[in-house]
Amino acid sequence: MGVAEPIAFGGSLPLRRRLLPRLGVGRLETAGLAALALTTIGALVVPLIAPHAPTLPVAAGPLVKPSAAHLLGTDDLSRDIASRVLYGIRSSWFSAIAVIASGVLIGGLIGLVAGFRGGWLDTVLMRTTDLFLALPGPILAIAIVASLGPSLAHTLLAVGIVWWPWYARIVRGEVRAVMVRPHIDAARLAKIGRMRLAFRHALPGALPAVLVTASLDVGNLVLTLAGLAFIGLGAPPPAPELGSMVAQGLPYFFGQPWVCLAPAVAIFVLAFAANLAGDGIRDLLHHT
Amino acid sequence: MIAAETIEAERTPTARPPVLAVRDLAVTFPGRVKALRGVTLDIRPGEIVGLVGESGSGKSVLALAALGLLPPAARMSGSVLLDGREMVAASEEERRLARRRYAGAVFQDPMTSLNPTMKVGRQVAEAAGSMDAAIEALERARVPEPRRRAGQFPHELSGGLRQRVMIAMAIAGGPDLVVADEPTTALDVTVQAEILALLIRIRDETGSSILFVTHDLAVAAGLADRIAVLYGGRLAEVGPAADVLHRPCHPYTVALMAARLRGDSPRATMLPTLEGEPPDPRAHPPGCAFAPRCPLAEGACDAALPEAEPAPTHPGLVACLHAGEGTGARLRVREAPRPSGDPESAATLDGVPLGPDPGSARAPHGASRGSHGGPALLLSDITKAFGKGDRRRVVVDGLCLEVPAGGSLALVGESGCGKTTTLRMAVGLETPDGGQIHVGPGGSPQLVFQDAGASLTPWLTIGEMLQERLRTGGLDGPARRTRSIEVLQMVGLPADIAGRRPRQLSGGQRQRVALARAVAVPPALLACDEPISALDVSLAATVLNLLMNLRAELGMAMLFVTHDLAAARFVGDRVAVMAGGRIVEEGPSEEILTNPQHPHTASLVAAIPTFEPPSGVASKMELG
Amino acid sequence: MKTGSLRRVFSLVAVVALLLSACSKKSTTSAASSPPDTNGTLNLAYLADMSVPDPDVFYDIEGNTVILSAYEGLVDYKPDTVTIEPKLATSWDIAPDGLTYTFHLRSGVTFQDGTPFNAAAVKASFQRRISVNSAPAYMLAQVADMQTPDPMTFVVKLRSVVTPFMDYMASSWGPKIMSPKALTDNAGSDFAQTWAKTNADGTGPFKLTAFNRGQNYTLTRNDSYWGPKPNFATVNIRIIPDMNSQILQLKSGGLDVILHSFPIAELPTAKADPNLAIKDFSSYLQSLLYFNTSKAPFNDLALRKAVAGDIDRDTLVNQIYGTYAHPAGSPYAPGILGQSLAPIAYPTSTVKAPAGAPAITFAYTSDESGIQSRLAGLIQQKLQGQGFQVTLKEVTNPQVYGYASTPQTLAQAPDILLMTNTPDAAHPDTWARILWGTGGGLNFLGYTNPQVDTLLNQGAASTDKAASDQAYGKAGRLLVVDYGILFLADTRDVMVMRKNLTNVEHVPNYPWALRLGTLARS
Repeated sequence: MGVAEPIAFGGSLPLRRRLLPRLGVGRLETAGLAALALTTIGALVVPLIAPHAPTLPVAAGPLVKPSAAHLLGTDDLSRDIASRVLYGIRSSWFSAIAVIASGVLIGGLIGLVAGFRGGWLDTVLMRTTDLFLALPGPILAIAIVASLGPSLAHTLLAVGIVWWPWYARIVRGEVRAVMVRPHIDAARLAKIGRMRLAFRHALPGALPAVLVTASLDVGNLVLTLAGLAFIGLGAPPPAPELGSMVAQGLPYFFGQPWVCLAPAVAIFVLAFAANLAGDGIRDLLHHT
Repeated sequence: MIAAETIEAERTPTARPPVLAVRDLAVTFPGRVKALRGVTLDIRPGEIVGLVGESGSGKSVLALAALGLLPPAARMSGSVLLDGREMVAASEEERRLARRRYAGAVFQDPMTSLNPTMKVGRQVAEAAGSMDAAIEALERARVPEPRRRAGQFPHELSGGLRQRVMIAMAIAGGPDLVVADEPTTALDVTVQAEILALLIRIRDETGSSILFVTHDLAVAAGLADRIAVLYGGRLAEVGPAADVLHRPCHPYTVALMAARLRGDSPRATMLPTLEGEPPDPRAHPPGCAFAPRCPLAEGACDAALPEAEPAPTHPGLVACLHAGEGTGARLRVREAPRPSGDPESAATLDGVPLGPDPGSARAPHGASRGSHGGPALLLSDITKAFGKGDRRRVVVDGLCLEVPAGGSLALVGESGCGKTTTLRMAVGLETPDGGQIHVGPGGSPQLVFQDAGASLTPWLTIGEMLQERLRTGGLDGPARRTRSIEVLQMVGLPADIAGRRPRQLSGGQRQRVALARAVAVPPALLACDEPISALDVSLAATVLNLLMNLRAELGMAMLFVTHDLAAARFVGDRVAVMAGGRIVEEGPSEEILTNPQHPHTASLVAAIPTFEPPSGVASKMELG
Repeated sequence: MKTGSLRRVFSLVAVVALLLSACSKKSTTSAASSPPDTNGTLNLAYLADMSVPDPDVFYDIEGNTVILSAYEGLVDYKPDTVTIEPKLATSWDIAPDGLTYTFHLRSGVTFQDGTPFNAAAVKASFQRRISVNSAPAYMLAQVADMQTPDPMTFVVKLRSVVTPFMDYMASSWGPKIMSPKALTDNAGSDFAQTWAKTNADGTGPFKLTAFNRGQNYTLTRNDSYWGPKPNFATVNIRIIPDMNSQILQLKSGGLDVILHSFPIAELPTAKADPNLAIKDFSSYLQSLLYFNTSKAPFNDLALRKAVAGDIDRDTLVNQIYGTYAHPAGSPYAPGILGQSLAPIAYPTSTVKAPAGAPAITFAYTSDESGIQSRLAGLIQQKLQGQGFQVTLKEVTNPQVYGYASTPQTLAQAPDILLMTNTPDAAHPDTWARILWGTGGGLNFLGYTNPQVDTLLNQGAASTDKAASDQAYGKAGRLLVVDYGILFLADTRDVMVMRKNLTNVEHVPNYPWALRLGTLARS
């Protein structure tokens, strides 16, 4: 067969789905990207749109039912739940992104070095990675919080420590796969320096896999952080954190269910949006 | 719409209905990709039809349509009758049944068609119905020691043997039609010849028809009774093989024949090439698809699609308003004297200093390029082995090779002989276990890879890659940009290519870009690894011409690895034949081909496809 | 690690699971529903395991029901009063010098293993408590000598006057009489403590027939009980760590009573349920705010006073407890001591935090009712509104008990501790001594005031009740003006039970417990 563009067999969409025709983007991908954009922008502008301060009591009093003045009611300390939920979403979203960013950076760097250099350095780095992979996240979080005190930063530190190994493995695998491709040999022949070779010719090959994993990871991380906050690891009260809001609302489950349901639903919606965004990015990368 | 009568105009009476009857088949893929635009073709029982076309012609799509293997996304109109069973409008189940009973398929890459985790015998047995039938099929496919081979896995077999296994699977069910899509493109010349002979023998023994799809006219010539030429999704010409080859009517066929590299193509001139590129399946011109490139084209050609009419010079059909008018004399193919390969006549390019590459550790500093500083490449007693212990394989075994400064040497051999490894050692990508490598002064040796597209970093633009290469040349930013445009122009690419990424380019363009990068800082030695083996005929010719031009301009030496002796002869001043890790014969190219000494060389020469149909075939066809 | 946190992890799963199971039961709304086939079984639940059913070691609260059902003391409190009434002793005499107590024992009583009850058994049990020397052993610290002149008379001689001695006898943590046979048979090397970790053998109306840690305890009717036969044949106490699960069980009839920690905010749903009744009883439970006076910032009286005013105690208590608690009027719960003898006044203020005030660590023990965390949250909110920096910290009981063990631990301990607690008996000495007396068992942040200790000893040594009360009152006043411990509220003991339960008897000194012997279902 002559060297020519293969005709696309399947994977493309019928013409009538023309939401973003030029990019060949379909419904799922659009929804996903919209979810990503909306959530990020939303999280950024929370201080501007939240009706009340998240930690100050409001005049309406405690445990007020959802109403026009307080869309999600108030909690047992007379705080507006809607505002707390918004700030909680903001905190969760940025925390998740921070952890993933650190994971990608640290793990990516380690994986790049391991995949690029190979040999004994690869072995050493990967065995170290395996060690970190074996650490149980929640237990580590508890240990760190117990020794350093409860704060969001400490919890994120603990989660970050157990998160980067995945990315190291992914990047290392992808880089290794790239390294055996002809364009690396060609770049070597073109006398390209090692740093340049690693960062411009090898690493970008790992980007799609990393992007897909990272975007799907956000949802995972949102749930993990909410879970840790639920058992008391996270920003200490009165900070608005979705997981701890659910825990604090449990004693009011029968009489004032909105107190713990509102943050629980918010966690669900956030995780859903994150997963949708992840799916969308993955599809987008597979189509391009 | 072809009237049924026109079909009967082909003077080959037969009582039995055609094994494959394609009527006005049109196939469109999502994204308005019109792969086939109304093709009508018959394949009679016991007939071998060679379907020839370049990329984008739609030949593979036609083959898949015959098998009913097109995806649901493909919109089809017209009809395809396989042994009388309609395949276009059929359900998946119906197609599957028809395929199973009436057809067999052989594809280009057996490694992806065979299950790597299953023994070969079992896979054939799945198609044949029983192990005994499988052994019989393997015997028919001339697989030596069929019982032993049946117990092996695909990766334990050579390429040729794998293809024989595929053929065995294809014929196991006793099909009426075997569809072979480029089955020999990836194979060595000698193996290719065997497979072609095998297919003919199978047709003789079992009476199955064969639809043989290829981009290589010469290969089609080797086994087809009739040849159909596809261009731009439509049939350009169809007729008895000998007629189409020697008395072509369609200007495209004429051009293909002229551009084909033969064992006796004149070395003194450039290869005749066809201007332009095949049409984009998304944007066909309104009239004849070939008109933009056709030297005979005039107004009426652009107005409407020409219909297939009886050909003036042979019993077949041709779709051209000027059928038969194009002969070699009137056809505007580019022929030009071949530039001399004298390295001394090469000058520095545009005053830009091209001193020795500081990155090349092996070139002595201070020596100027183009001086008679000894050979461009000298390999002395090189050995290289891979693997350890039991699995140690000696790939190169005491090899000696010399390429004089500015000279060109073609290294020929079959797959597995070690030529690619030798090439990689020559440019420095591998280090030999023993022996010495001496590289002459000048830019560090460069390599044009076999898969040019894969040798380009997919996420960088062409301009970025070229400028990266130029970093070691001592130029600053703007100068690098200018030079990269120059280099693109040297390989015949427009400047706006610099802003694109590899996947936005066609295969031919990628090939040129790879070349451009290799010569951006002119190397003392340019190594090429099978640069044309996967290319269409017209593209191959263009690339070869380009290589000759560049060599002349830059005074580089060339080490050209190929399994195609015709190309080797054309490109190389000298030819070295390699087998089993060492050079078995070496000499001036003309002599090697006309007077081979070593038996291995002789077998390679014998395997060069010619344009004579195998003897006896023509007479059979006449009997109908 | 907080036990409350682990509980919460299970709680969410449990809630979901139980929600699903409860959805399939239709009993919650039909008025004429009868509980599932129980055959005279009373179903109760604990939030956590009790420590041990060993009356000489047990010192927590939740297991009261078990101890008081299997064992009995010489005397008891009358329900809803501080009146001491006979139990295993039918009458008693106290010598005028207050040093000799003579108990006349009840005849015809046998232990659950059949051994007859007599003075020797009492002496053996008393002796055991002194030997085991665990938390409640202090009640017998002044015992000099015990005599059994005849099988039905038991005489105790004290070294010095112990005014609350009878209250000790009546206290739920007071000495209980254990079967001497069981004590001898299972003595081992630790006075039968190992056996008593999972067994009981007393004279009470119920036998402890099963003790499965983490799962359930079973009490079976003692058919040879000397008193009125219990109505229930079996009492099954399950360990259900999550309050919401308990509520679901109660609504569906799987539980008969929720003995404590019912979330106050959920009481309206219980009120609306036709099958449930809310009963609140008087108790001596008080909600307390301890200050760590050993270090800055609360080594400064002015700051303690400022905080006492800033928290706006009365509004706080009303908001959180509603009608189920009153702002504490005295360090002594009503009934323990006359409220006017040590009145409390924390006038509301809005004193801002002084510049440069260090951050305050505010610790509280978690509880399933959510009240502690809500109190803590509100106090934090109020103080932060005045510019204080407050960090909340949820802690466990074992942690709390360790704070005052050494000066070093006290220096690391939190600045404020919020807890709810109750006196050992209905006597001021059993509260003041352990709460703000130096080294007291509930004096978690090491408050110490030598004047208080002197007054407490005065009170304990006096045989004149009025003079004794005055001494205790003064000790209370000293604490109040020193703001060593803030008293937030006198809380009621709130229980929610199935409406068909009758003969509900509750003793203020036995919080979280009902007299199972008299309880019945109509």
